[in-house]
Amino acid sequence: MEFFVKNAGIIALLPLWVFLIIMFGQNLSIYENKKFTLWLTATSTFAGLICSSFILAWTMSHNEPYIQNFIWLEAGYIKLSVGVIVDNLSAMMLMVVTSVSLLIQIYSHEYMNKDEGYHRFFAYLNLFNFSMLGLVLSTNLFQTYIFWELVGVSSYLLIGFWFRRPSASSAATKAFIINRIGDCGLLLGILGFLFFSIIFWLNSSDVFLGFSSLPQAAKYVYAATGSTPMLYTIIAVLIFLGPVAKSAQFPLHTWLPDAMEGPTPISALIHAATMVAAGVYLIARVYPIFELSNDAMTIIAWTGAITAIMGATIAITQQDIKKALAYSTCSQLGFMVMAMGAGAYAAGLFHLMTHAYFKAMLFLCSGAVIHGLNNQQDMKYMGGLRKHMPAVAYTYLIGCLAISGIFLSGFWSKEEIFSGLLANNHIVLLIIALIVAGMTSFYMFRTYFLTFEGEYRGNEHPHNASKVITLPLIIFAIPSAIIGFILCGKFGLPSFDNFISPTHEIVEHSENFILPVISLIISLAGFGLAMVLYVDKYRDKLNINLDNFIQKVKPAYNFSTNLWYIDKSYYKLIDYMVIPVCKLMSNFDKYIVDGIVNLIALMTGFSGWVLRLFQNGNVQTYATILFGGLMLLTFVLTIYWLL
Amino acid sequence: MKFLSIILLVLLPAIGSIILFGPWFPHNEVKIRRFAKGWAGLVFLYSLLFVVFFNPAQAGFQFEQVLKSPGGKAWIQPLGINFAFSIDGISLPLIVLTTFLVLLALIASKYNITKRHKLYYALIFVLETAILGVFAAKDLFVFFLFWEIELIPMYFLISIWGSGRKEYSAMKFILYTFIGSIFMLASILAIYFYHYIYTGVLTFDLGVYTSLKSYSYPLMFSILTFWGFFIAFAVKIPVVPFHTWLPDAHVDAPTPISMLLAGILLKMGGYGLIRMNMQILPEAIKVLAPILIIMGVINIIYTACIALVQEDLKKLIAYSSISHMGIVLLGIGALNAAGVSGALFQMIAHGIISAGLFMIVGVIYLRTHTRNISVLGGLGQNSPRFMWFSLTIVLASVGLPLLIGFAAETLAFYGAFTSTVFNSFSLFGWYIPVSIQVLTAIGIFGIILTAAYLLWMFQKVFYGNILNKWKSFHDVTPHEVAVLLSLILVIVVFGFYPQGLAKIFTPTVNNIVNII
Repeated sequence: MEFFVKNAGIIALLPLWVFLIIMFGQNLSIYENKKFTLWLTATSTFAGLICSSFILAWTMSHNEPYIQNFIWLEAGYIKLSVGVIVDNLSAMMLMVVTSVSLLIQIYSHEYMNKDEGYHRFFAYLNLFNFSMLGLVLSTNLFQTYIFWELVGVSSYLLIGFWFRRPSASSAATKAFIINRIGDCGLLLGILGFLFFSIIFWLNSSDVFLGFSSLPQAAKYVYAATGSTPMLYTIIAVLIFLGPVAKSAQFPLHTWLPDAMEGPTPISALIHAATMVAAGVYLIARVYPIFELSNDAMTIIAWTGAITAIMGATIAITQQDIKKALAYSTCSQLGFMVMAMGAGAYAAGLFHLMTHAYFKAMLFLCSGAVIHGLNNQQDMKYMGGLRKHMPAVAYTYLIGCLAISGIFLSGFWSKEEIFSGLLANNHIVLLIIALIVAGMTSFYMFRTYFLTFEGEYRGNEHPHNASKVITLPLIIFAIPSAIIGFILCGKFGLPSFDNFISPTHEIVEHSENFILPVISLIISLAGFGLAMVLYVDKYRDKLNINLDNFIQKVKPAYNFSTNLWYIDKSYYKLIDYMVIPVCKLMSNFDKYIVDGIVNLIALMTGFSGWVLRLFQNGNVQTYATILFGGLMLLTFVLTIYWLL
Repeated sequence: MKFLSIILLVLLPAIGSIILFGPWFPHNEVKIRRFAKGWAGLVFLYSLLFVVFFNPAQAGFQFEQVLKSPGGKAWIQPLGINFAFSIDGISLPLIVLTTFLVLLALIASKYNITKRHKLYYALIFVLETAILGVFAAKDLFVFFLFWEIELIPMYFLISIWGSGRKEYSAMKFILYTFIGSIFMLASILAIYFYHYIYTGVLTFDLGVYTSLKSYSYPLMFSILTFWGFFIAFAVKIPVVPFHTWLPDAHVDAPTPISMLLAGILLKMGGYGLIRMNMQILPEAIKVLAPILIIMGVINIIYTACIALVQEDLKKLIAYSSISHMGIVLLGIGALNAAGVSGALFQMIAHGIISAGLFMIVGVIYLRTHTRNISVLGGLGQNSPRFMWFSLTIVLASVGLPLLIGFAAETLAFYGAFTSTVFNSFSLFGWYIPVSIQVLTAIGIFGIILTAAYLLWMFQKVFYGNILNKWKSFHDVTPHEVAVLLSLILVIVVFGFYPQGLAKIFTPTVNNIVNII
């Protein structure tokens, strides 16, 4: 086991090698075989999964993290390192990333088989795995920043995978630029933090910005900025900007729904399970920094709460199945961030893990549906698909139950968030969370009923998904259903909380059963409402006309379908502010700055031209100037004398 | 290491130029090109030998060589002028960059140059000698000499093989640089005579001026001298508002010349700034560094905003080039080890990346005969390999980690952020409450703008469906692959292992910073 821990870096490097092999193999036309690419990728990920399991087992019995570092860049007294850290948090993330990756790679083999860019897809997938695993294994904040940007670029490449579609290419660019805003904030936060703690690091035996000394460093910075707590809060909030962009939190969430232009397996892997959760992971890593500032924690909690409620309200009216799931992801990430900000550290991470499994599965189900309907994503043209693809429908149902918090894994992680909010006396946040939970249940079952129940409304011939597609779904259904219960820490079962937060105080579970029961009732109410509104049978029975209902709440409905007008105002800002100002500057540069340069040149030329007139070697001209000057002088003098 | 002669390295390209231009050389295009590439390769390999035998732990000048007459006299002995060359940790990377990029530019010339081959390749070799002379000179007079020589081949290269308003641009380039260098000459003479007054020795030896002197300049004197040097270098870097020659020159120059212009010539400015303003005039730069930082931030943001709305591909890259050179200015202004290392690193990174970007534009222009972004589109569909190469270089320019630009930017920004130059900054006796942290933050904001204009450009040019008129756009040819792939190799190697580059110049930089 020691062996796997000492060589944990291999887990991240394997995909990089596979990436290079595929790239060179394809561009130099060495091989054509798709199976070869698949086996290479899947084997490397599977090896990673095995190593991760051993590492997880190792961390169970060791409290001290294993850390390994190499100097990456040195200038003056600043030393930047990269390395590998193995502790409970990274072991948990390694498990999640490798297991989700492996299943999605198998799924992708079928999903992308007909696509001409098959090899390119797998190459990108490996690049992403390398960056994500590197991020998970980072020993210090600086290394995190490196891989933070790399996952961003993998996401950029994969969103723009079908770059011939204009919508996909602009979605990719948008994702990169918005993530850049977060990166910029993160970099500034890191620099600010380093600036105040530089003396601490110089005296410390740890590498610069190492996570293992972060609690002491944070205290040091807090003391250094003691006279102005505002400054410390600003640093913390700047660091938080990174997760805001990456985890699609309000107001930088707008890239995530657009990112659904990428292939569906990518939406499942990157934009649901792993990369977007990296923001939450980063918050967990730098938790000691946030903990010291109450204001920062409040900002984090409320950002999460706003995102949760925003995602839920928008998801309710989405017609595109992937868009609905994307806003649901937004909302669930808001849940995790809110939990982190409210002090429920372990609950946030628990939800991260359960969410990774069931959301990946939901996306894969939607992918199977889209695949079966020849790329139809609009739920208007679905319905009744349960008869055509039962395996997909039942796994989707399991996913819906899980995310809605009805008994399956989502119930346990959400319940922990609720009790965490209650324990930390965030009553307003708790109420928001409960409302969002109800809405979650409503919109998830809305998508389920619209897609799988009733009559088929489209013109395609739906066909069942092949075994390669359904197998990962069924495997995913297992953790989606039971992982929450297994790790809930009750009834004598192992506790995720105790595992993930050995140093933090353990969240005491309120042993009263009122809160879980309330949350269950709310979720069931959402489920019931969805059933009444979207199942034809019940709707007819109760004489509900959906269109009339929408007409009644028209303003709210419009607000939701227009995505809270956030996207539109951004585009307006760019079109009417950024571009005109830049045009103005461009013209300023062209006509004023360069104009002055040309004017100087012109004046030099002009004075040369004027002076040249006096020196043309013509005696008559000289005589004229001489006499003209004399006459002028005489005239002036005469006038002067007369006066 | 007798075989390592720095004078030979500097003059080797000139020798090639004479061989090539002489009447004995056949007027055969293919033979000329083969010889030129071979010779440039030879120079590159020879310069690599200097890297192998360079001692990175030693801070000062190495491989020093002075040309003496058989009687042991210096070149112009009465005036104290020596034909002296030397290399230290700052100039070595730039010298190798020069020989490397000249080789690549010659390879890239195949399709871009269609007339007067003999003259073209001969002029490029003259240019190479001039640039190597500037980087390797250990004598202020020789430095100035080569600084001026460099203008002549560049003028002809733009005005003969260029396009558009080529005479205008070439004239603008030469006049601008020339006027700038007059001020430099005045400054060189000022410190030269100052030294004569205090020591009674006439010397242009750079080593004398850069080491600790027995006297110190009065503050006003050193500030005036500083500005004299600065104007010459500011035109070259270029610093806003002395930058308007650059977009014009780039737009009208042929592709290989643009590569050299952005890749190497701009670095002469940054090199001069470190060598002269920093090493010779530490008193002045300590006072004036805040202005450098402010100018650097203006450079980054102002030109990035302009690049955002450019329609001409080459103009966009040219403005982006100015923006990236702003980081060099910012790093130098920081006056600490991290900042100056970052500036040097950025010079190398920018040399490689901007050469690559201009190469990309050249490849597109060659096939489509347009540089207008709005008429291009979907090029990636026909040329996947070209798209890979372009994407890698564009991302390197954006500053992606594990590519060469990232380490440079991080170091420079970190240096500026922790710089103490503003602590005692006052202008006309007024304390100005400017925070270096806020200024750097504004500069870092530039990375968003950089990502925006480069990726928008990339999206418009490569993504989307290919337009009918570009259906015949074909993928990169072996020559182009050779150029782009070598650039990418450097980008990736030093991106993964920046320490390999940093350890060459770190001792020298530490030494310089300690003197300040």
